[in-house]
This record gives sequence, C-alpha cells and structure tokens, in this order.
Amino acid sequence: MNKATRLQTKDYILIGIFSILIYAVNAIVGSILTPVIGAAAMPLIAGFCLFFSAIVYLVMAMKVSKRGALLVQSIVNGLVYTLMGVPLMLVFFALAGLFGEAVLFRGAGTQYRRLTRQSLAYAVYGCFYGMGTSVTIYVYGSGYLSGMFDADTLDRMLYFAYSPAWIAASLLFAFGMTLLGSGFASRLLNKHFIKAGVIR
Amino acid sequence: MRVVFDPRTQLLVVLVTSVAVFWAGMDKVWMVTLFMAAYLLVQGIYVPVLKYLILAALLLGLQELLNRGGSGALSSLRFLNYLGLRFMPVMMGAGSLGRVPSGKLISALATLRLPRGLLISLAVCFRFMPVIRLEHEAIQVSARLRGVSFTSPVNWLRPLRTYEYTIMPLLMRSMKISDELAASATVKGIDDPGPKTSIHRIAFGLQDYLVLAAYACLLAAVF
Repeated sequence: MNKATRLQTKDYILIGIFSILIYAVNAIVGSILTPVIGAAAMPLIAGFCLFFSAIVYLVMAMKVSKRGALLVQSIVNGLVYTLMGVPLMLVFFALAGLFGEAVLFRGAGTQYRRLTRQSLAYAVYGCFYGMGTSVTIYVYGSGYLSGMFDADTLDRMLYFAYSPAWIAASLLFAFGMTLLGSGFASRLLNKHFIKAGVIR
Repeated sequence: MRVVFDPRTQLLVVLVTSVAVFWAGMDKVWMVTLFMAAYLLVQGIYVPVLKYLILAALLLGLQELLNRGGSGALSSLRFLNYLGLRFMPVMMGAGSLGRVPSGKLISALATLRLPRGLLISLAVCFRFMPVIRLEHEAIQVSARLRGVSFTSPVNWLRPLRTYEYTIMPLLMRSMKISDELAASATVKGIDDPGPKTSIHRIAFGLQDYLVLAAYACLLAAVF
C-alpha cells in the first residue's frame, strides 16, 4: 500500500472522532427505543440505531476513502464496549469490521469513494452489530447477565437470542435498515457535503 | 489540593469498574458509585460529582417506584434504569479519563505498546466525548432559536427532518475539529517516525498505588 492509500494520522483522528459519534448515535437511539419496543421486539432496535448512524459512517468513509477505515472504527467501538464491561465485543466488532472491509476489498481503490459499496460494507457490519447482544448471551451465558438485568428482562432476552425466527429477523432487519439509512444518508450527503465541496 | 493520577491508573479504574458493576449485586452498586465520587473529588472534580450523585439518587427513587409496577413498557423502563444505575460509576471514571490532555493520554498509552494509529484514534475518541456534549448544546441553542430543535415536541412529528437539523451541524463541526486537531498534531511532529518525547511525566506515584489499593479493598468488601 502506498502513502496515498494508507491511513494517515489525520485519518486516524477523523476515525476516532466519528467512531465516538457513531457510538453516541447508536446509544441515544437505542435508549429512546428500548422503552417503546424493547418488550415486543428488542432485536430490531439495532436496525433503527444503524439507520440513524449510517450518515455518520458514510461521511467518515467518504472523507477518509481508504482501506481500513471501517476496521479501525470497529476496533475503537469494540474498545469502548470493552471499557463498558464487555471485552468480547472487541473481538466481535473487529470481526464485523473485517467482514465489512472484505466487501470493500475488490477494486482499484475507487470503490472506497463509492456510496453503494460503502453502504453495503456498513450493512454487512450492521448484521453483526445487530447480533451483538445475542452473541454476549451465547458466550457468557445467562449467568453473567443475571446480576445485570431483572429476571423478566433476562427471560425475554434469552427468548430473543435463541429463537431462530428472531435471529433471522434481526439479521435481515439490520441489513435492510442500514441500507435504507444509507439511502437517506446519500441524499443528505449530496445536499450538504458534496454540493458544498466538503466531500469530493 | 488536587491529586493527579497516571492516565494508566485512570484507564485501569474504568476497566475494573466496568467489570465490577456487572458482577456486583444491585444492593452493592451504590458503594462503587460512592467510591467513584470520592475518586473524582480528590481530583478536584466537584460540580459533575454533585450532578452524578443527584442523578443516582433520582434513579434509585425511580427504581423503587418501577419495582412496584408491572411488566410491558414499565419493564423496559426498569431495564434502562438498571443500566443507568449500573453504568454511572463507569461514566464517572470515563469522565475523569476524558479530562486528561490528549498528549498525556497518548504518551501514557504508548507505554502499553498499542499500534500508533489505533492509539491516536482511541485518545481522540476519549477526549472527544465531553466535546460532543458541548458542541451539541451549542447547536441546540441555535436550533431552538430557529424552531427546529428536537426538544420541541412539535418537531417529533417530523423525526427525519429534525434528525437532519441535529446531526448535520454536529458532523460539520466534527469535521472542522478533526482538521484542526490534525493540523495541530502535524505541527507538533506526530508524523515523525522517530521516538517521541513528552512534556508530561508518565510514572506511577504514591497516589496511584493508594487509590488502586483502596479500590481493591472496596471491591473485596463488595464481593
């Protein structure tokens, strides 16, 4: 990789700032929706979070336009989750980031500037993101979470985590909502950033 | 007198707290919260501590009320309340870490031999947490003047447009801050491949050992 396609210090700074923005958007949307649809459809919340955070990711991805941006963003988010007490998420998000990067891998380098490819990469990452809570339950078991959640909530989380229908719905919904969010984001990007020349 | 801890101690306190709040019983979490309050106070962080403690008291009161309620939406609210109470000590620790100057944080984290790029992203990410809130508040002042703030219930009827008016200025500001930080770092020679020196002295002091020992004793009592 030459210097033009390798991540530079300014890229790492941008990724650091936008990673925490993505985390904040996801956390805020998740907190607002949990009391509303948490009891009925908890696994779908991630899809809504991704819908709203897609714009943040796309601005970052289009500004950086280099290999590794999604992976570094995933690792930084994983480290934030590690600090929140779930170190497993570091490995999980790194893996999700790698799958997302795989979507972007083929091409001469211009693919990193294409909204469709970046949207698809974020949607693949989003599928994994949507499975985060379930994977925590699979790996740590319900014992780890029993002190954290009341019995009622934990029962519901276990039901959602082990129900094949809910797993499939969660994956499809996260993928679809991320693409939908990317569509919305593309419109905003054209309206605010590309027209203004902030992103070329 | 303000006590200054090594950033690695602060990071360790956050990491240990994040695991401790998972394992501690709900009736013991308040002990961790009180310890974190004392930890912030010795660092000269007074007003945020007061806010955290008031919020903790409110959440505790709400928890009592919700425990008497039934299931459904109340159960989800109880879940959020649980999360709020459990993660408050982590937020308090992270708040202290967020006040460490970026240069000092990078110097301290460099001793952990993390990849340099990741280290920069991580340091910026920690430092940017409190900045987001300040930027967001400034943006909302303007948004309220123009009647497009999400705090106005009438705008909840147009969620996408309200989101656009909230996130776009924040993204613009974030890009500008990122450019300024990058320029500042370049001027300070961050791209130079040679070994880096720092104006900040990075070393464990007596205060670090004392706070870690006190925390270990508290956690032993909690578990």
